[in-house]
Amino acid sequence: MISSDDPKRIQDQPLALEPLLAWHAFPECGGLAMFAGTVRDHHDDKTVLSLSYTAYAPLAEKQIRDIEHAVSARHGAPYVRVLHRVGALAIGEVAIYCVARAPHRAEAFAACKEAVDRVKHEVPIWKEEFYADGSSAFVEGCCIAPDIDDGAPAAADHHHRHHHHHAHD
Amino acid sequence: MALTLTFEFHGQLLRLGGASEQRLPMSAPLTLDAALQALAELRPELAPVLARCACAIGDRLILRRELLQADTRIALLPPVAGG
Repeated sequence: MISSDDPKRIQDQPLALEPLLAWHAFPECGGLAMFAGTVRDHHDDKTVLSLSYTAYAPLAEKQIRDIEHAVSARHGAPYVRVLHRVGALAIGEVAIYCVARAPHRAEAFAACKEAVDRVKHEVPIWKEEFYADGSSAFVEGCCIAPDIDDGAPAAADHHHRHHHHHAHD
Repeated sequence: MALTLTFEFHGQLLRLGGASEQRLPMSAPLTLDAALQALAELRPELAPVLARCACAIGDRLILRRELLQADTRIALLPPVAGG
């Protein structure tokens, strides 16, 4: 089961939760926090029929691993793992899973939240929404160029601050 | 010395660009910034997005001041929105 120990973080098939939980490891961990992000049927006042996620995998794979390591060290959570789906997704399908395991619940919750926030804001993944009126749009996102001041610091180890003019969900 | 840059389009650039990549013959050495300006002149419809793109070679983000000295494939990464 080597592949499940270090799965690709960007996957084009439905994400499997069970192997991510790592039940048979980390006996020192009494807390497991899990987040699942699913496809919503609306954006503002528009009805969403489906989504398409794409990624630049060479960098996305590396960045998700870097984020897992940084968040793990910062919160003392020995296990942090994030998987993100790409391709065409229907309403209700899982786009992202994050699992964090730590000795106690507070660190597990904190690590899970920070890992999800950072993956959403820093990793080259794009979301295109398809609406009931036949139109489509890319969801406005965060500039990740390290040398462009886009209202938020974009250094490799920054902790994202919400100075953007656009809303995050 | 002549070199050819290949810009890969991702995210909304794929839609705007109408193709998956754009080749650009240039003279070396030049900075990434100069290369992006040349691309924006060639494809002015892309200019507003290019201004907010990160650029990567393989799994490494590169800075606009970096020098390009040989044929290079550069991924253009518009603002991101995962999750």
